[in-house]
Amino acid sequence: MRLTVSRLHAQRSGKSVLRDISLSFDKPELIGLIGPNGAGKSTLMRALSGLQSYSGSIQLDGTDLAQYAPQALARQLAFLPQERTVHWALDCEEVVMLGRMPYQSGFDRASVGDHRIVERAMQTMDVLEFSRRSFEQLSGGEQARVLIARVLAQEPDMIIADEPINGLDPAHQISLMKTFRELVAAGRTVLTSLHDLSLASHWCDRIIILEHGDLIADGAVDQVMTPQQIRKVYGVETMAVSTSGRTLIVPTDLAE
Amino acid sequence: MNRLPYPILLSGLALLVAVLFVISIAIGQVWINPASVLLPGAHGYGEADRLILYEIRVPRAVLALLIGATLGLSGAVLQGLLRNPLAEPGLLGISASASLGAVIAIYSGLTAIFAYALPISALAGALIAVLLLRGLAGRSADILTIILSGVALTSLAGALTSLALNMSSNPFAALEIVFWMLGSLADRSWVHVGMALPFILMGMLLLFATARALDALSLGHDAAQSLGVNLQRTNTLAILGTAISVGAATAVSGAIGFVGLIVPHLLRPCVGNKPSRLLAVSALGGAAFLLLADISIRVLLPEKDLKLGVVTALIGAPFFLWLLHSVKKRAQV
Repeated sequence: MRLTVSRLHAQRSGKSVLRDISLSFDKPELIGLIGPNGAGKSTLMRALSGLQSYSGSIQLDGTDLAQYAPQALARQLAFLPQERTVHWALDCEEVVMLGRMPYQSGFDRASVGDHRIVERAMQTMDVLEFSRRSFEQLSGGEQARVLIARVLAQEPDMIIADEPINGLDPAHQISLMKTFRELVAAGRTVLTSLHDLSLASHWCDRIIILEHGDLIADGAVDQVMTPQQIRKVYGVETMAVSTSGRTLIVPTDLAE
Repeated sequence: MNRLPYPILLSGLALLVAVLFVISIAIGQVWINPASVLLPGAHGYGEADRLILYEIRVPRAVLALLIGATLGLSGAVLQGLLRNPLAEPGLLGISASASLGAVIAIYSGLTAIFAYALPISALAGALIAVLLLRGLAGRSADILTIILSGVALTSLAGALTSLALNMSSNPFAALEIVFWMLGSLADRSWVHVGMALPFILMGMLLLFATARALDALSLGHDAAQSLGVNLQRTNTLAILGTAISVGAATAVSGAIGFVGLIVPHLLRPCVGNKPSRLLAVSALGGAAFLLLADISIRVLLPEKDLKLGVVTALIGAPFFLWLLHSVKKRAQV
């Protein structure tokens, strides 16, 4: 899979929110998309998922995103919105089964294969025990895991997740980052927006920084998340902590 | 919780509709033994009974079934589309606008020229209402805005309907106003069935085609679209389907409220809250509900010509208030 973005511009309600973005995703890696509020992270991820109108080009394996039939695109790219609502009190298994929609047509019923994939996805996210439970009755962390299982059931090459760790406790945040790492090990590309700089620096292979709709930096964690860069973008001082062979960037104070 | 398997639920509801249908044609000012109707070669009913049965009772029961199914189904689709249990064609002003269309067709003399002018004009009224609602509520589809728009539309359409009837040289204007705003199935004939049937079936077909998209929509707009659902198409199907089927239903029965609100809500837990599965059961449930309501007005006050819409509103309005209350409470948790 190869997703190439070149000279991407996007507007939302008449305001320019992304300017001249060029990026490429072509191998299994965990990419953290960071930047202050209003930097255009959500818009970029929605554009990559085919949910946002834009100018410039986004190509998936050499073909324009707009040329893809929606279902075909959904088999390659999965989008996990920030909104974690399921509007009706569906059973968790039904929620995850929605991930199989791109593979079904018309009035198709779920096949044996679909059920097997759903079961595996739920196992991966450790939510199999909730199969017959109503989504409504789960805690926030459990709900987040069920929704990620839905994305896994979609069996995409690339997962685009909008602030998936928002509102999760530290244990669930770490376990989610670990799951993302496992997905990368299994050959998938994961792009996730994050506000937590320590998690981003510790778990991601690559960091993309957006600020006011401009691409500020794109590269390996230690090249991109320098104290100078973070101070410039976020206005905070940071401290680097080394732990188990990786660097952890921890914000300490507002910059002068 | 153990749920009834879906096929059993469907057959159970179908059986209920069949039983109510038979009761509906048996009951009235004269009792006609259903057995003598159903069993071939059975005698015991005369020419008068035969006339009552085939010219009055059967078309009335058929209309109750069709219109109930339409209202139940369109309620289920609108609720799925707007992701809110408070949506319904009656509350949203779609039925009232269809009534207005029908009245305009009758009193402008259009129906005298062309019989299908009645359902088509009602359909146009319904379509304008749905498009207006969508325009007013915008993409965000805040349910309060939609319902308040529905209230305004209902009042406006009601006032215009009354005005049109008062302006016409119609000595029964007052009676007619009541009919179009509350709805009734009294004195309907096969002509009405023939007029509504093709539109109702066509509209229902479009509504059923939204099923899978409604499931995906339970995850929200963005997620549904990212799952390959064409939201534009879903919107169009739901809008046209509602306008065509509710328009045609209202053209022959007047505006009957609350069926589309009560029925899907009661049946939702039986199908595990899954929007796609709610459609067929809501159609059957709506048919059963309206047949039952129509039977009850003939049993309770046989001499008084109670309007069908009065019964559905008597049950529906308190139900709506209760639902509003429980939705608000749940949102606060």
